[in-house]
Amino acid sequence: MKQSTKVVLILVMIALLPVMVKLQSEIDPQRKQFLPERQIVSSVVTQVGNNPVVLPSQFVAGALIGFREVVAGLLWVRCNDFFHSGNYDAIVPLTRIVTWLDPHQIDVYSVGAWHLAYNFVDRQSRADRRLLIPAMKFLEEGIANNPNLWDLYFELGYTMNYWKKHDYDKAVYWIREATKRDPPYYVHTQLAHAYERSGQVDKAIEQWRKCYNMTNKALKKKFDESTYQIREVSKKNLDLTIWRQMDRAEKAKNPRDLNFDAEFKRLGPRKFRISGRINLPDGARVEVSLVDADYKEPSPKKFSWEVDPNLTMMYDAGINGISVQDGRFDRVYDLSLDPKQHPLAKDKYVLTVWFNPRNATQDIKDASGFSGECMTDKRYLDTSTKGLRIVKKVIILDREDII
Amino acid sequence: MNILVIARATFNEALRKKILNVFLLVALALIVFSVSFAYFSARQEMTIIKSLGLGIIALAGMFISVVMGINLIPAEIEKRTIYTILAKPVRRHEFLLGKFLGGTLTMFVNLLLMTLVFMVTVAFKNNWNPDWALLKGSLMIFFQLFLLGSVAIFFSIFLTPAVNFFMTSAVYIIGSLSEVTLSMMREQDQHPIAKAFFWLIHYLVPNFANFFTQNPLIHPGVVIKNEAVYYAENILYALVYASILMIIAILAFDRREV
Repeated sequence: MKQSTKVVLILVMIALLPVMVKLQSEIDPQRKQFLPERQIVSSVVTQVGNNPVVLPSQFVAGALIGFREVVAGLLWVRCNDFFHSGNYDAIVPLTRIVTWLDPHQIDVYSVGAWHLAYNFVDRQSRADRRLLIPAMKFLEEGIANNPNLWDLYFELGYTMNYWKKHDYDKAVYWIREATKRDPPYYVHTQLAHAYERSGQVDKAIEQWRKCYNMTNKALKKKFDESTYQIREVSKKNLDLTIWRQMDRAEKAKNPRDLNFDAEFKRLGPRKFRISGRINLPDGARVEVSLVDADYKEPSPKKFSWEVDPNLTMMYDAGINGISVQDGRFDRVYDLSLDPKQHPLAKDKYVLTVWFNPRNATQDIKDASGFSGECMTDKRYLDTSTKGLRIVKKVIILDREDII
Repeated sequence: MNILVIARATFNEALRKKILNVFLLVALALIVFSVSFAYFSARQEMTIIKSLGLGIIALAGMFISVVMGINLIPAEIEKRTIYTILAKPVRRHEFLLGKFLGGTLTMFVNLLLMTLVFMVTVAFKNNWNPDWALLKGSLMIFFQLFLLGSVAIFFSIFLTPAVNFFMTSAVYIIGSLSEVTLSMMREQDQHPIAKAFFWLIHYLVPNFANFFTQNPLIHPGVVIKNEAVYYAENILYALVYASILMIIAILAFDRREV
């Protein structure tokens, strides 16, 4: 090769070097759009409670050299295997690692949060309520990482606030956020349910009408079996809600006296009975909670696995409440079976027994009203929440009363 | 003209190599196997199939590219066929570029086959609706492997195939760690010398991580702003970097005694 050619080649090469560096510096900020917020090295080892969770070395290698999504996918497959073998303890740390590796795996967020909130149960099938806030924060992290998708807004609204926490105002907020992001029709119908449970019956009627019009319009363009069913359900619920509103307004003129009372009886160490009476039809649910007297709900800024191991937070709420039969309710609690979930480590506890009409089924609401407008009680009526009437008895217990 | 003749010969020879075909077959089998995750919901299943499929293509392509690239020149020297070729009116740089082009063509055909199977697999699981966006993933993998191939050929001028295998693999791994090097480089309390070291690694080692675009391809919520610009810059980066390596390789090969 001629010397002059060599010189030209060297000059070309030197000229290309800054071009290469410039291109890389242009590419770097663009790559940030789909990289996880945390660097993947920090996901190699993480903590669940006091236990370190170590990502197996073959996964670390794969993740580090760029096969992040593949590793996340394989771990997710492993999560599924654990789920089918009933090994829930192993799933949650893995979901944490998967979402660190790939924060856009929205199904992993929703399944991880669901496991936390629903599947860690005591021997009487009672979910560990202490994990509800971590579950919700996990979903909030997922929303922050995937703000344009409806799915996790709906999970937070429906699976957590609506069904688990029974905080219907927040359920309305999150489901409404989901409806702004082009979700399927059933999300719009769940917003109507949430409006009704939050006591906003007029808005629920308006939402059912909206669901009907929306699906009717879609069916005119193209017939689809599921859209047809949602339209029919919307029409039926629209009519029913209007009818119920009128019927319950009439019943509210002469509210039913619930004649509610509840009592606590110790049966043995960490074993007790809650029983009482309430003038409601069979199938109504009376809810119970036993919580540390000094407990205040935390509002962590970020998701954390940390759960106070000394916190007692036992809830039998919603459909897990005590079923009413012949105007009476009765359930035996044996917290000695699960001392880790119910440590009873504090000196004082608040035992609350209540009936909340918003958590009830429609046949019970026919007796109580949407928000308790058809019921009253001489001793235990609680109207501290605006627009809501519940019956509630609070008993302060010492530790010695229980253990 | 000589370059094209050598490229064609290289391509024909590479196709006959059984080891490359083994990698290809294993990759094709794994892609088809990835449809067996039927117990997930439809959306989860598609996410896993797409991520695994693109990952398998990238990984198999990497092995094919490295194994082929490290042997292209040394094999000719070892078999002494290089003497016959260079005795003809073929200049050394034509030989080198022909080899590189032939290797790239082989890689392209392998990738094409894997992509075809992958696209059919995805379409099969998606009621025969193909996801054409995935082709962008294969395009990026191709340019990643193009760059990797240039690294392998570049080292093959100086190193034996065994040493070259480890060197090329090491460069691939380091070049895939750009998330780490970038964050180390920008770490506030990092020592200036360490910062400079990570800067050098980040900008001078070929950045293979640039070409991993699986995430926006498998997740509907992840969108690359100015997507065309992003892909164009990456392709340009691969071409520029490979050009630099080939210039050095040409200059070195010209001086080398064979």
